[in-house]
Amino acid sequence: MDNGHGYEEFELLEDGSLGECSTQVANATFLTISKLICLVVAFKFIKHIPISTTVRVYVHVFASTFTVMWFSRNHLQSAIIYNMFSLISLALAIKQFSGYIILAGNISLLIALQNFCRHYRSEDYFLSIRGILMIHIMRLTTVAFNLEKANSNKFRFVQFSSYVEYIYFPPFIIFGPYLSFEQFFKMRDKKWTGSENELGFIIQSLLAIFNAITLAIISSCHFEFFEPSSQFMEDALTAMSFRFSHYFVCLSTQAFVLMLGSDVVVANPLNIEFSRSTLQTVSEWNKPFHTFLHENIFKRRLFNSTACNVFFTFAVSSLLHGLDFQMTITLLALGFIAYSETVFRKRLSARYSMCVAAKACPVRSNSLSCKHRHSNKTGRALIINLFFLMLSMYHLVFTGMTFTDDYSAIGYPFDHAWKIWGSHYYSSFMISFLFLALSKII
Amino acid sequence: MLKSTQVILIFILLISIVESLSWLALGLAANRFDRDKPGTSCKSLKGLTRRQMRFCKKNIDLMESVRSGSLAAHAECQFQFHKRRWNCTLIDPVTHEVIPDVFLYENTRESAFVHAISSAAVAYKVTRDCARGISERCGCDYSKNDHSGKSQFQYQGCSDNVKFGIGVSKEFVDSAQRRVLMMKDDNGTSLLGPSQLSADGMHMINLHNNQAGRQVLEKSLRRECKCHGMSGSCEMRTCWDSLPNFRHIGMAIKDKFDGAAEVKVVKEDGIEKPRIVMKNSQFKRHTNADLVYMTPSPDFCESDPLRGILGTKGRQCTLAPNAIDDCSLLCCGRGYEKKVQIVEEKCNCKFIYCCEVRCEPCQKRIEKYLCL
Repeated sequence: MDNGHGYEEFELLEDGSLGECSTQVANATFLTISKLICLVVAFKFIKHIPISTTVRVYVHVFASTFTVMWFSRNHLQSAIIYNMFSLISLALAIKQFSGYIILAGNISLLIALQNFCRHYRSEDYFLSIRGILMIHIMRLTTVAFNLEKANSNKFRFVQFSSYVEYIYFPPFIIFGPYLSFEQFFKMRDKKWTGSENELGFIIQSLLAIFNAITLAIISSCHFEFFEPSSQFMEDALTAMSFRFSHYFVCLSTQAFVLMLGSDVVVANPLNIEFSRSTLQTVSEWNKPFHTFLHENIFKRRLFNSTACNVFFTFAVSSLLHGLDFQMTITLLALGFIAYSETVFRKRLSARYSMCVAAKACPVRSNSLSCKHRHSNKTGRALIINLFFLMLSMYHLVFTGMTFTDDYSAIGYPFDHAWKIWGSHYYSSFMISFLFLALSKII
Repeated sequence: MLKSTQVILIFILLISIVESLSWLALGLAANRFDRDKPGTSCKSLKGLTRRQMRFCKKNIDLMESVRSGSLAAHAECQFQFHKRRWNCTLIDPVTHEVIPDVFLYENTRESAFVHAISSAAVAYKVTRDCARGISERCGCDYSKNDHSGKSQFQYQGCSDNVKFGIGVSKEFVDSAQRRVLMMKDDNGTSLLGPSQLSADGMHMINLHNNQAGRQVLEKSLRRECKCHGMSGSCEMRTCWDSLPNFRHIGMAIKDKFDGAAEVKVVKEDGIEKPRIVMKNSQFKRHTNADLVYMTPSPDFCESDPLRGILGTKGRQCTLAPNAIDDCSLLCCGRGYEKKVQIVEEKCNCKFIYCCEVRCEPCQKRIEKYLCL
């Protein structure tokens, strides 16, 4: 006797876990964003209130310190560490030390803190404040270079208070974004433009926040929506999860920037997902970060050689994460992939006179087409650009799939990336070597 | 007078024992739960004890989850035992009531499994449905999420659904275990001492197995987190609790069934509550997470309608050696017969333009082995 109806009923009970993860993540994300939005709204009003400079400085310093304490696990520890970086850097900057020395000092301090945490088996604590310290170091370095440029012996309190206000700006403490000195004071000094304009900015901000939370939910709970049918799909979902987490941070900070009245662009996810080339992916990944590296590191041309300056820029970008081998090797991989692709496409563009370079052809004002014979609209150029578009998508999977969730809170092991890349037979590297070889042949 | 009292007490004892799993028939009830009329909806249910009826009226919004829990328990039990001699024949398909199997209430190993899987299923379904927001009272206590000193990270989100589900299961399922009223004679000595001890022991065993089932659920809860932060940092983590498929719960309880411990209930002087101890003191002591039983199981070979045992006659078996449903094992050595069935099927179907599908008739030979 076989009770068949038991099995039929059992099929109905095989429901998925839809909503189990999404509701919890939505709750958590909204709670965190709400706290930051309160900070944004508070400081949007504070900047319009006519209070004295001294009071403003103290408000910024204390609010920033409490923000760091509020969001981190070890409250007092984080506040001390955060302010220690500030005090040392400002002291060195006032004594006319070079911006490079201050940057090197901060990075050394960061690495020392990392080793300290590693010694006491608190790598997760270091990772929980690393992002905060990264942006902090970037701002301190910007102030140092500005002070270096000032060359003024008459150091007045008004100038100092501007620097302190720039360094200690609570809405941007946790997730950023990094703003340059000019961008920050343009935002701060912007006047109230009327309710209609402000309403427009608020609507844009709310839309960005909605998109951010949606992406955070997909990033955490993609297993509720997609079922990977192969190892490649699983790797692609892991990479997507990492990218969407990044977009969540970028879109949230984009919302904060919009609310505060700035037009700085943090990141456009569509430009990264459907990127023309890996070079564009790298620069679009985090525009403020790219701005910092480009203006403060690359354009200052510490070395005579362009290659040395490129390498130095990547080194600074890597060391701002501390001694993170996974991040270092990923950034180097991205640099190598972008470089080889740029060289190959430049050669291809010149050889066949097609508009297929890594950067889009500049459109001249007096004509609708570029200098190349085959413009963007030609079928042949379109097919080649489409191929490189899909290749960029694959490079996103290749470089992102190593950021799995199992080690993201405590740091990745040394050979983690190599193992995962090995399962794809180092294909992005093979393609890059092939491009370099082909650029020599044609 | 004394004999009459004894007879009445024995009768009450039997009634309370039989009722302990009657609520499992809840899943087959066709009527819906009307939240506006809890009294009427609850009264139409079969197999509920008085305390369960009271629970039903107070928690009408959770009864749909309890019903699906009983369905899951029954289905999972049938799956786990469908190749064994006892194939989890619990509910009469005609009357839709729990078969009054006397053996199931003798604290056998099988009854331990049924108790554990049923309490786990109710807890599981309540937890799952809470995640979908079926009730406002589900275990989201937001004040616990802020600045909890114990948590490594300030994770947000509802993490108490499992505790809520376990609490509901404990209240509802354990309500089926009623204690017999103790009656004392004029001298103050309790009558039916051995019977009373036996009844208390059976209830203790059942409550223990209920708790063991819920514990399997609690331990299978997984907390997963995702890091968010600047450039791969981890300033913020979004965490969620996820339960595995109920099949995993069933497998875990089945493993406990295979390793169940035979125990007895002893009452020591001076201590009011009896204690569960191993029957054979040489074996390692059982833990709170183990399933326990007091009575060895029958072999389930021959039909015994009085005890609710259907036997293995007519059961389908297989010729695969070393299988749990091998004919020599399942049929208890009585032998088996082979039935060959010729089934007509369609094959070599082709599409004829336009517009017809033509197939050739084929015959397929199906062999079945049935126990004698």
